[in-house]
Amino acid sequence: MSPTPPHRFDPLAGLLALAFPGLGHLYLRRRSRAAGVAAGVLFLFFGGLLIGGIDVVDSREDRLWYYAELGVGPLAYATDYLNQTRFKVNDLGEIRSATPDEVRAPDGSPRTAQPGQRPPNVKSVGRMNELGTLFCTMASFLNLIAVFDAALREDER
Amino acid sequence: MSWRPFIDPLNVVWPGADNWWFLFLIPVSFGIALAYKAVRAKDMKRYPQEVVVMTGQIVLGMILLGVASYVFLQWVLPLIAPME
Repeated sequence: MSPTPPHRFDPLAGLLALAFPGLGHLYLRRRSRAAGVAAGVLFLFFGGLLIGGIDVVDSREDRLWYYAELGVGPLAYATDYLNQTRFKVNDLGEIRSATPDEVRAPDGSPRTAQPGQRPPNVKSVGRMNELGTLFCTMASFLNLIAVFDAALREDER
Repeated sequence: MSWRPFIDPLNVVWPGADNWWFLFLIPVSFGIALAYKAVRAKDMKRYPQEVVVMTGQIVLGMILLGVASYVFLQWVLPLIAPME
């Protein structure tokens, strides 16, 4: 059995890996690993959004899942920010998803939809919501593995 | 209603998607293998093969877990705790 190579703590690589999937490995000049991490994490994250819609990243209505998704980094935060500020309605101080017969007014308040108008997004429920959330959460966990791998890199690999 | 990708859920454009939920096991397994093997593969020259093998392992493992759960619920549990 070959001895385990020594590890070096590289916080900058870890932070870069958390900033964007694959960036930590790119900084360590491991280009093929960086491409693999980015491809896998982004495939899962955007796959989750494709399946469940933007509603699967929601810090208000699915707080615990949102915390689990934060491992993807600023991308998850930005997605939630968009969801809260561009798609949800402000109903007298209560931020919530629009119902199917509502539209979002320019000031964010809900309005009754006129013929031909539609809500800012369709709320995902059931299997599509579960699967989309699962995809985004797996993206997060795998990116955390990549963060630790970049921060605690082995000297020889 | 037209589907807005990444904003609306997939069942807006594919109403039966909920009934085919199990098929999504394949892309999720592929994505997991893609990211995990990028970190753990010893030799990146063998990365594509390792991704394919790990995807298959996850899919097969989940099918076996499903079969084991079915056998336990349908056959073993009634033997342990028979219902009158």
